[in-house]
Amino acid sequence: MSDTLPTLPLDITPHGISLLEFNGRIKRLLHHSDVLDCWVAAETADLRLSRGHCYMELLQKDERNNTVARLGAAIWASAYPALDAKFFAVTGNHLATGMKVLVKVNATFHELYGMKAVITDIDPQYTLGDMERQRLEILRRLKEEGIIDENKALGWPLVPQRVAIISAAGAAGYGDFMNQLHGNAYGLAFYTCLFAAVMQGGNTVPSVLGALERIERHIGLFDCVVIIRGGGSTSDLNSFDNYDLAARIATFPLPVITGIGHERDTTVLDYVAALRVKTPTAAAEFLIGRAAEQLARVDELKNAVSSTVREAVSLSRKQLDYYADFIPLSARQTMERGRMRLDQHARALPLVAGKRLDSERARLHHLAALALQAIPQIISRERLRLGALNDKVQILSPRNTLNRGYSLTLKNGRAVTSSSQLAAGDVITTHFKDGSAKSTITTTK
Amino acid sequence: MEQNPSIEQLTYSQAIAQLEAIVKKMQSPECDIDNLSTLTSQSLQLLKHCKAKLTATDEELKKVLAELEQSQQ
Repeated sequence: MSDTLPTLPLDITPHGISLLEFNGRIKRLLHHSDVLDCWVAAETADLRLSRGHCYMELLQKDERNNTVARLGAAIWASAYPALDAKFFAVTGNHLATGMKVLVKVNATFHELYGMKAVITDIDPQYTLGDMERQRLEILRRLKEEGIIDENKALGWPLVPQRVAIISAAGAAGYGDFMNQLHGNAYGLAFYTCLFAAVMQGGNTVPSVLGALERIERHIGLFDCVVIIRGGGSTSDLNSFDNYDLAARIATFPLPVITGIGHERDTTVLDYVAALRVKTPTAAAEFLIGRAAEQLARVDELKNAVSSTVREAVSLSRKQLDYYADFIPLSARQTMERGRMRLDQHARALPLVAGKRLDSERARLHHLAALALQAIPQIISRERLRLGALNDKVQILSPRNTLNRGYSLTLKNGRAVTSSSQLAAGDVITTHFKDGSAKSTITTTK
Repeated sequence: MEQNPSIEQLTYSQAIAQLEAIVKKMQSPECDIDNLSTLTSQSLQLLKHCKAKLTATDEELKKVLAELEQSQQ
């Protein structure tokens, strides 16, 4: 029966071998130890998961970022969970595009699918070291430029209620943040606005930069910015270790909260943001905490007002009560004091009056004695004065004047002292010391 | 203390600062019962305003932000 069957073309090619045969030879060549279990340093690209297998391109770039080597690679589903867990445990990241990796590979060749590097192991420390080196380089530059702490230095508004959010619209982290913030137990009001952005993959940086740009156009509407990631299955934190993004956040005019890192890892954005939190929920808790502090402050002031008023009213009432008690008592005491004084005076009066009478009496006696002593002296003095006056009268009397040779002329018994008193025909009498003579006036001048 | 014509216009920061100043004045031994009455009235208005700023929703702002968010999509 076998000699009736047609012969397969593969077996009848006289001058060559089949492609399958050729590919088989290549495959056999790759059993060489140089390309088996070999540790290779490369950069990942186009990483994707499919049916449990992880496919990627391994690249090498030169200093000018030109790709100089490329090879398709895979981690088969049988190995991927263990390798991914090992990688995540050290780096805090899942394997992703754009990472520098050190992988143990076997060069394999499949007759149908061609060349592929099958990854059997990975050294996460290598990637961690490279990520850290990149981060340190960016941080050093930000520090040198003096902007690394600018966002931190902005300070927080008393109540950051108006929040601009950068997140992927459907991200679980965004949902967690919104639920936490708007469902806060204090009934605090918050105002949020989502500026949707791609938060993983190669477009992360331009997308987040674009969102920041849009927020800045409406800067007056917001108190702060919250950048939230979370919920994605393929983490790609490398995108956030970017100088341009870090510098933009560092110099952004509003305080920025980042909730994009992993608990055990940070990105450079975490170093420049005003606040870094581990989860979107923690970002909401921070904002709620700030507002709740103010609510407590308002309540404290309310209590202070209330107790101050209560104390003041109580004090005034006490004062009134005191006066109400004090006034009648005081009046009684005043009256009692008055009465006592009156009694004292009443008792003292006879004694004082007696003393006063005695004193006046003594004074009277003394004056009387003085008067008795003074009377003879006064009489004697007055007598002398009288004598002197008598002498003066005697000297000045008309008689003495006539005796000294003067005469006195009278008209009708009155002395004539001026010629104007006389007229022709008047009879005048002139007295001398020894007699008198009558004369008739003939003329006057 | 100079009374702002409209407490409603004050920001939270301005209102809480005024409120603290008034409470301090109320607690001062120089504050008599007549002044206390005026200051109490002012402080109650400020307290109400501060609490509203924290807990009452500003519908106008909410609408503006909703429109802004809508315009992003």
